[in-house]
Order: sequence, then structure tokens, then C-alpha cells
Amino acid sequence: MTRVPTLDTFNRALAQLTASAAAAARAQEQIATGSRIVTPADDPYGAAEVLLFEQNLAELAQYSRNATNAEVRLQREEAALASVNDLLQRSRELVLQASNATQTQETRGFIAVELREIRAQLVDIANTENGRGRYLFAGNRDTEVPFVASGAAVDYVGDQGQRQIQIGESLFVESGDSGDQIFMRVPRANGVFTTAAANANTGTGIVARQSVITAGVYGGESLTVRFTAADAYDIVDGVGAVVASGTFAPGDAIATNGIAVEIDGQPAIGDEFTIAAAGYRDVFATLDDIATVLESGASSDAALAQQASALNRGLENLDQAIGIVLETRTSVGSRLESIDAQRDLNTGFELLGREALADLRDLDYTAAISQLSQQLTALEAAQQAFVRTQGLSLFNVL
Amino acid sequence: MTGFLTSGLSALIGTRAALDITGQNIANVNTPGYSRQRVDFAPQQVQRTIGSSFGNGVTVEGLERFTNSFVFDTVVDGSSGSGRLSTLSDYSNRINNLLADPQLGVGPTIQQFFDALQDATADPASTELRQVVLGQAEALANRFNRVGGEIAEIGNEIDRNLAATVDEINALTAEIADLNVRIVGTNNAPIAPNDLLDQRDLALTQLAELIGIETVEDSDGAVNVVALPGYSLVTGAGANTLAVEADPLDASRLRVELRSGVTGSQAPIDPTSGQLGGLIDARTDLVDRSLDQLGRTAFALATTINAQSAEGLDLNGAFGGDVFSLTGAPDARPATSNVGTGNVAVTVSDLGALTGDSYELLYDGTGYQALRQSDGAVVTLTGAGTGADPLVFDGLSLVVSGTPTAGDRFAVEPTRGAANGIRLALTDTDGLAFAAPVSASAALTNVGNGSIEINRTTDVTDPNLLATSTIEFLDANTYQVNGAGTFAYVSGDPIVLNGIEFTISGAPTAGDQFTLSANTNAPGDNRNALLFAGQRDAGILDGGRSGLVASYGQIVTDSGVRTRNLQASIEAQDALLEAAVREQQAVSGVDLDEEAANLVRFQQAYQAATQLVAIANSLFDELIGAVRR
Repeated sequence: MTRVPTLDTFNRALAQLTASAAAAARAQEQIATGSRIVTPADDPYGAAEVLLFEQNLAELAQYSRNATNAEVRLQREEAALASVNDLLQRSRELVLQASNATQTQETRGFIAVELREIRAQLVDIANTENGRGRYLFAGNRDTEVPFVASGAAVDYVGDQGQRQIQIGESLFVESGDSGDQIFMRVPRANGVFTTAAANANTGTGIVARQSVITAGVYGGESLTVRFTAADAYDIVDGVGAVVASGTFAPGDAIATNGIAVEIDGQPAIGDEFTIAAAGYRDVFATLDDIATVLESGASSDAALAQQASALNRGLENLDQAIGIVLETRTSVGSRLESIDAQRDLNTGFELLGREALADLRDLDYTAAISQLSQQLTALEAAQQAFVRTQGLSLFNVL
Repeated sequence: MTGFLTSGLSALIGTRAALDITGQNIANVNTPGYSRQRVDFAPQQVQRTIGSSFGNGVTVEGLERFTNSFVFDTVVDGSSGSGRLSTLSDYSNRINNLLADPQLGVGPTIQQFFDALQDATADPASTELRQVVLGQAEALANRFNRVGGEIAEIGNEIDRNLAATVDEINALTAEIADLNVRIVGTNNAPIAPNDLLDQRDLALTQLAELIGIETVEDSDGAVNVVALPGYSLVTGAGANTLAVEADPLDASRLRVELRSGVTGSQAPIDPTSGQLGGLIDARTDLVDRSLDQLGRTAFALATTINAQSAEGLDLNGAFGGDVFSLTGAPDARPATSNVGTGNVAVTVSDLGALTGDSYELLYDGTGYQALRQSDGAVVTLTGAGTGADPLVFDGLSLVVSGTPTAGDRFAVEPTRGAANGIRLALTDTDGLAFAAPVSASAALTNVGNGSIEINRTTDVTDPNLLATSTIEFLDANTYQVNGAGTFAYVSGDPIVLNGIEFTISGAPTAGDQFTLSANTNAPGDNRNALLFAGQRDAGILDGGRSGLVASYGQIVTDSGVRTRNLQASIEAQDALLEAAVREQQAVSGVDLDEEAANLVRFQQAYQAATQLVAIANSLFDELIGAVRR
């Protein structure tokens, strides 16, 4: 028979009371925090997983914020580019109008005035701010006005940088386009070569269409089409050597080096048309060129022919500029789309993450509360048992 | 007749003694360490004389003290184990709560710092966003300081407790030695010195809780006490004392030494159990380890962010300076006990190989040996310790200066001080180097459609990194650099020039120019800011497997597992101890019911004995009366 020493009975009952109270307190803490894992020791691996999921969710939230930043910026850019497009389209109409034979010098002067007005508006739009003092089209030098007037020209003082923003685990999106790309680096004419009528021409030859017959043949060399008679020409290279010759009738396309130049009207003997690599012409200069030509007050047939050639080139340049704006807007649109798609993806990931986190960490309240009441019952029972057993003593009945 | 009376008297005396002891038992029902006692009776020797009485009554042979040495040893063992584990578990819980608490832990703050960097990539020129980055950087440094400081304070508390525990142990060993003297002194007394034995057992149990012990009883009753794993504390009447001294490897820390009571010489000891063992283990396994690991994350953060800063240009067009400063890590120092003049300087040569451990470097007269602190294992090292051929192990590079003597030791703590030593070094928002060092441009006069793009900086130390370079095409397939050389052009192939890797693609034509130049006036450039932000997930630790947040996650898991294991161990150990104590109580504890029954029993015996005396008296009276008649 085991002896039951008095002190031991007391201590044992006390230990049981403490243990029951501790278990109840823990269940109560779980319910209060709503979390199954109160400290990492409760479930070390679960706690590490929770940490990872929480980090993941924070990352996703950050990507969403980045996406919104990029989106706002791109939307502003899109609005600005839409205005640019309108202005360029209007310019195009004006140039077509000016090319009409019914125009007088005076009406051409009016058109020139409007073109100069459009050019000024274009500079304003190119210097658009994002509302917080950052210039949209300045590349990475976005704290300074990027397009500044320098004499008759407009200089670009921004750089060619294009900022990226992270909108997904490994997805970066360009949040803008540099002004260099949109306004300055506009290919001239057809992008390969351009033909100019010499100032001294006396005939009425007009450079009409220019086309590339075989791509990659023309390498940027300077060529001159020199009329040796009204119906014959030589093609002279950069050092004055005749490389080809042919016969000509108005409207003929003169082909050489993989390219063709169509000349309307009747050039005179000695008239020259120079062919050069296209290079680039900024849109402001193009508008300025056109306006200057319109303001020139040409009246002779020869001068009008030169004006017509210049207007044709101007129109080609404008079309290039419009093409670039269109291209950029398409690119901006697809970037906005990919931001949307990524945001949907991020939202999906976020939902999955939250679900996993809830599974990992969240308390099953029903179970926890029933456990708590169970533990409280046990605690009460232990207390009552303690009182009862402590009351038992032989001394009470002696 | 006199025998009859004698029997009655002896019974009176005996039962009185029994009642006294019952009273003593009842009185000591709550006295710690008290062992219940019982009076042992024996019949007085019978005188075999015819016509005379047959017995002389009862005699008190002794006082039996109910103990069981086997059970006592189990309690002593259990107390030592429990003392160590409960100490460890307490500290482990505190550190665990510190590391994981979202309000206190470092994890969320790391995330917030990188979030601020991400925000800044949207508008790198913004002073406000830059201010937020610096603010979060400071909050992060502060958080490291705070958590590191709390853990270090726990280390200080452990030192104070070490000193207090050593004092308690010394008092107890002195008491045991003194009790030994008194117990041996009662050797020839008729009654065993039960109270002294109880006192000594109690002192031994208390001592066992503080430090693991083994006891051996001498034939003369003295008990010898040996602290595990083999340091003599009490030998008969003599006691050796413990002392705390500054640790030669870390003067800010205390270590425990055993001072011989005979020679007065002192030697360091390493007790394995009891509260003292628990305190020592808590300092090494919990405090030091947590600081080392937390420091590793802090060190990696500071090193990586500073390195990234040095690769970019700030708003003033200068290379970025340190964002964080670090003092106290990595640290290496000679032991104060060294004989030679050797000193050691440590640098981290490979962040990815850094383990988050501390080491003890030993010089044996010819070479060096590095012992890992966490498990005492010898780490493979290479090199001779000279500047040209440093000692290299676990991502560390050590150079020894001066002349060490054989047996000299050095403490090597690569990251322990980092969590407390990390500070925000950058205060000027303009100083955040968010821009890449070099920008590229294609000349507007170009005719071809070639474009240029910078891929990355390959060598930030290149002296010509910021020099302006012009790449000019001689024809469609060759180019020259700064007017010299002839290089073949392949569209899209990476070209490395002055520490910058870039590509030109498309079809440039003769005369086309591309320029690389210092990116000094580009406040909106976020290329280096993106690289900053990318450091959050970059595998910079554990050989490229862990990033910053992951390395902190490891610490939390580590601490959680440790705490959980300790909780399980302490529960098991407490159950063992409880069982042992219960067993001991079952033998030695006072049961009031039993004592009540004994009271009744001895009261009745006493009444019977008084009747014996009364009857002897009346018999005597009757005899006298008969004779008188």
C-alpha cells in the first residue's frame, strides 16, 4: 500500500491546478489572437512558412503599387501622344492643302502660320509634366524641361534613358519613352534615302515618289541625278564619276542602286537632284521646314516645283512622325495590357497566398472554444477535488 | 514486583518518546527536507530469575529516519537536469518571442526597407521617396540594434546570474562541509543525528538544482560531493569554492573557475548540468548563437547594400557612399591570457561562405587550428596567417601579426557585433545612388538605325568607368573606339569597355557614333535603384541559396525548433523529477492521517502504561496491608 504523505497530496493538487490553468490560458491566448501559432515554438515549420507567405504577400502588394505607378504614368503618356497624333494629322492635312495648286502665296502663308502654331503646341506637349514636376518625355533627366528652343531649332536636353518598373516576380515594364525616341529620332522620307531638288534648278521637275526597290543595296552613298538633256540624265557619284545614265520622260522613275526616284514635270538641262541617306529629322524641324517653304513666296514655275518637292518630303517626314507616334501608342497600350494581366495574376497569387496563410495560421474557433471550455471544466474539477481532499483529515474526527 | 513497575515505567517513557516523535512529525509536516521518524522499540532484556519478574519492559532502541538513498540519488539527478533545462527553456522562450514578434522582429522591417526602395524606383528624383528610403533604412538599423541589444542584455543578465549562482553554490558547499563535521562528530552518540542528516540532504538537493553533482558517503558519515563532470566540491570537512572571473577570450564576459581550498589555484570548469550548466549553455547556445546569426543577416545587409551603393551615382553625380556603417564586426582578438604578442585581423572574403558561427583560433607553435563555437568541431583551414597567405576558412580571411606563443588563443567573431553595430551612415537624401554610373546615347546625326543599350557594370573599380568613350562606325561591319582600333561589329553582341558591358544592335552605317559617358545628370535614372531592390531576394548567403529575408527566416525557425525541443525536454524531465520526488515523499513524507492514528495508538499505550503503574501501586499497597495485619 502506497503511503500518501500530506504535503505531497497538497503539492500534487497544486501542480494539477497550475497545469490546468496554464492550458486554459494558452487556449484563451489563441482565441484572443485568432492565431494557431502564438510563438514560433508552437509550430516552428509552420511559423517559417507563415513568414514566407507574409513576405510573399507583401511583395505582391508592392508589385501592385508599382503597377499602379507605371499605369498612371503610361496613361498620361498615352493622353499626351493622342494630342500629338491629332496635331500631326492636322499638319498633314494642312500640307496636303498647301500642295493644292489652287493655293495662293497668301493662303500658303496662312497655312504656315497655323503650322508654326501647331509646332509651338507640340513643344508644349513634349514638355508635359506628370503633375509632380517630372517631365514625361525627358528620359532620365526628368527634373528639367527637356525640349528647349535654340534659335529656330528645338534642342532635346533629356537623355535616351527609359525607366523600368518591377510589376511581377521577374517582370519589368518600361514606364515611359524618351522624347529622343518620339520627337527627335524621326527617320526622314522613307527612312532609307531622300532626294532634294537643287536650288539652282530652272526646270519644273518635282521629286514625287521615292521608293526602295531592293532592300539593302543602297548603302547611304551620295548620288546626283544630273540632267544632260530634257530627256536624258547621268547619275554621278560622290567624287563626280558618272556611274549610270538613261533617258527620261516626265513621270519616269529613275532607278539605280536598288532605289527609284519618280520625277514629275520637266527638268531643264543641268538640273540636279541629289540623293542622300535619309538619317533623322526631328518633328519640330520638319514642321519648321514646311512652314519656311510655304513662307518663301515662290512664284516662278521653277520655285514652285522646288516648293512642291519640299512639301512632298515634308509630308513623308510627317508620315514617319505619325508612324512613330502610332508605334509608341501601340507599345504603351500593350504595356498597359500587360500591367492589367500581371495585376490579375498578382491578385490570383494574393488570394492563394492568403488562403494558404489562413490554413497555416488561422485558428479553428469552434475547436478552440470547445477546447477552452473543456479546459475550464477540468480546472474547476481540479479545484473542487482540491477542496474536498484537503478537507479530509483524521484529526477532524478525533 | 519491581519488574512489573519497571515495565510500566519503561512503557510510560517509551510511549512518551513515541508521542513526542509523532508530535515532531506533525509539527514538521510542511518542513522542506524533513524525513519522518519513528521510535524503534525493543523489549528490555528478560531476567530469568525464578520467582522474580519475567521482563523489564520496553526500551527505545533508536529513532528511525525514513529515507532511501537510491530514491534520493534519483531526486538529485532529476533536480540537476531540471535546473539546467528550466534555465535554458526560460531564456530560449524570451529570445524566441523577441525574434518572432512582428512588433519586435527584424523580418517585417527588412521587407519595409525594400518596399521603400521599390516605391522610389517609380520616381527616383523625388526627395520625399528618397527620405522614406532613408527613414526605413534607419528603422531597419534600429530594429537590428534593438533586438541585438535585448539579446545582449540577456547575456549580461546571464553573467549576473552566474555570479549569484556561484555565490549560492559556495554557501551550500560550505554548509555541507560544516554539516559533515557535525555529523562525523556525533559518531559515538546513541541516537543518530537525524536533523543534521535532513539538513544535509536538503542542502544537497538544493545544490543539485544549481549544479549537477554526485555524492559518495564515507564510512564515517561524511559525504563527498563531486560536481559533474568531475570537479571535487566537498571532501569531508573541506570545500572547494567556485569563482567567476573575466573570460580571457571575451573580457566582457564571466567564466566559472574552481578554486582549490588547499592550494588556492584556480582552473576554469565547464559544468554540464544544473542551473549553472544551463546558464553557461544558454549563453553559448542561445545568446551567442542568436547574436551570431542575427549579425550575419545584418552584416550581409550592410555589405550588400553598401556594395550596390558604390556601383551607382547619387544626385550629385558621385559614386554612392556607404548606406550603413558597421562597427564591431567582423571582430577577432587575442585572449588576455596569451603569452605571445600575436594579434589577428579578420575580414570577410566570401559572404556566401559565412556561417553565422564564432570560432576559437589556437596556435600550437607551428600552425593554427580553428574550433567552431557551436559544436566545438575543428574547421578545415588553409594558409599560414601571413598577409600574403592568410588563414582562410568559412568565408573568413585572417592575418596574424606579432609573434604568438604556442598555446595562445584568439577569439574570432565574424558577425556577433553586427546586429548591435549597424547604423545608418547616409543622412543626405541626395546621397542615395539610384542612377547607373554610365549612360549611352546614339548620335542624332546617325544615319543607320543602330541602337545602343547598357547591360550592366562589370567592374565598378575600372578607373575609366566614367570616361567618355565614342564608338564610331567605319563601315557597316567595323567600328573604332575613341578614334583607334578596328573592331568587327556583330549586331547584339555584348561589348565590354571600361568596366561597362553594352550592346549595339541594328544596322549602323559608316560615320554613325555612339557615346558612353558618365551618367551625372540623370535624377530620373532608377537602374541602380532596381538593383538595390533586387538585393532582397538575391542569394547572397549560404553559397547563393539564401537571401536576406530567408536568412532571417532561418533564425526564426531555428529558434522555434530549439524552444519547442526544450519545452518537450523540460516536460519529460519535470515528469521524471516529479515521479522521483513523489517516490521520495512516499518514503519520507509525513502523512497526517497516519500520525493521527499513531497519536491514538500511543495515547492508548500510554493510558495502559499508567494503569500498569497504578496496578503495581495498588498491588504494593495490598501487600503492605497484608503484612501489617
